[in-house]
Amino acid sequence: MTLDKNHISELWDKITPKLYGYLVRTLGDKDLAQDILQTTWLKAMQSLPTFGNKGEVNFSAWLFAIARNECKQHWRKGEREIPFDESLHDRTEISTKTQDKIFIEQILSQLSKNDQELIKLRYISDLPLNNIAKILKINPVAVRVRMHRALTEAKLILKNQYHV
Amino acid sequence: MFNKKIHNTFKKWGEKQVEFPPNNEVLKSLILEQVPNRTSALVSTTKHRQPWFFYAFTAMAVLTFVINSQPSFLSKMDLGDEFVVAPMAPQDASMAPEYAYPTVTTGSTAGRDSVIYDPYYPYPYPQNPNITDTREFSKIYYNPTLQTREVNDVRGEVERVVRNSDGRVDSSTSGEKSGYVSFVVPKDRLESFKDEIESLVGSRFYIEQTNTQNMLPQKQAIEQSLEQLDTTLKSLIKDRDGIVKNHNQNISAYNKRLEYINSEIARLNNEKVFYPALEEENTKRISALQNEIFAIQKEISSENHTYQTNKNNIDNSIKYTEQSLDYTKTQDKNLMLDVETVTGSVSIQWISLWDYVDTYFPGALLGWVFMALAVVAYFWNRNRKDTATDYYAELKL
Repeated sequence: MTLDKNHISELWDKITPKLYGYLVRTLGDKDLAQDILQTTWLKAMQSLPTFGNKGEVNFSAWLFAIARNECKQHWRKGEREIPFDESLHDRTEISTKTQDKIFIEQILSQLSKNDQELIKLRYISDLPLNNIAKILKINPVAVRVRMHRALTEAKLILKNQYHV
Repeated sequence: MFNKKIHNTFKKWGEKQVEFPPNNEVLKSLILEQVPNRTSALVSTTKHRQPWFFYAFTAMAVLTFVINSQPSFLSKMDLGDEFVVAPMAPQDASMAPEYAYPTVTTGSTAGRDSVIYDPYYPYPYPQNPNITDTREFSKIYYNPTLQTREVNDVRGEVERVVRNSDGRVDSSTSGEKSGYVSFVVPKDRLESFKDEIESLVGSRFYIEQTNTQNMLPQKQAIEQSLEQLDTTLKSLIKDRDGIVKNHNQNISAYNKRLEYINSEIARLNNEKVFYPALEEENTKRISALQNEIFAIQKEISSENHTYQTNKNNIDNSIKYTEQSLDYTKTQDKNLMLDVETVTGSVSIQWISLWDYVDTYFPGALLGWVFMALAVVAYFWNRNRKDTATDYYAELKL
């Protein structure tokens, strides 16, 4: 079985929203996220013959690995400063949902960068821990342990600061 | 429970982050244009590496096993070497080799019994030994071989064991790779001696070789020789006695004759003769008797000479026979002492680590090594293939 245009089209529809969401949350800039998204897919298409067809989950993890690497490359170029994105920080229409969103992001901001990365990959990409381990190039058991610690840390922050 | 709650919170948050980019369709079409026609090119780009090392090691292992399963000429030669026994030096100059006589050799390993020929034969060999004689006179030669990595230490230990067994070390040599201790120990201490020698290196590194030589023919030959010499000696003594007796009888007869003649001469000298003719006749008679005395004295002299010669000859024969008898008795004593002792030599051989391991894993050790290498090569190759097809590693990100 090979990956043809139809398959890629289906995969795009399934993976792109998650990948874009991840990039937006990682980069904090929707335009930049869109650029990285495009670059990621283009690189994936170039390397598609070496990847073959290893299933949707593997393909998704592969794309996230490429995207993560592109983000690193972007930061390495010195473009680390995150521009102000009005759509992300628009407080004129603060609803209950937006309040929840800000609340979670405040918790996330108090976690370490690694834990933030882990939680974004886990809950936005919705990938299994084994695939996250491959993306981060660490042991699956270590991912499981780090995830547990990150959640415990988040719980403590929630308990201490927000008395929930 | 609280973890579950926060997990659900994050999950909801994650789901809210999911969104399409603003110009989704444009991007999608752009990407779809880049989709290669045949992604199955993966098959051709991923090289199928042949496990050449695995093939090579497997082939060598099979070859080694096949070679080891065939009894080769070389292995026969090796087996044969173990039965080559150093010639036993004759214990006495008289024990010069005359005949080759078979001795039985027994080794500790099954199937190693064989017959060897001792080139030395210490005693006259009877042509027809008496087969009804059931006495046992067995001389034991014990020649073990010890394999060790500490040749000098083991040689010292062997000497100590020999002396502790009331034995005697005859000679001892040792080098870096081999050692040799020749010894004599009492026969009744042999079993404990063997146990101690074996315990020096352990049974795996101990090769026992015991040769037994039947000394009954030699014993019979000595007994026959003693009997014959005894008979000869008695006969010689009897002959000597006869010579002495005859001589004495002859001398006695001569003396009687002389006594008679001398008395006749005295009678003739004392006789009063009135007629001149008779006096002349007496004078002639006395002269004849004196001539007879001279003749008898010559005969006595001749008799004494003959007697002395014969007596000397027979005395020499008796002396020689007695010497032979003593010598044969010494041989008999030596034979008994020889039978009551065990003679031999301990060969100490240095063993390499390879042979050491081979002792514990006999057979085609090399084959097993190749087999292990083949397994390692197989997994190494498989791991290499997996690495090569790992798409995460292949990414030139």
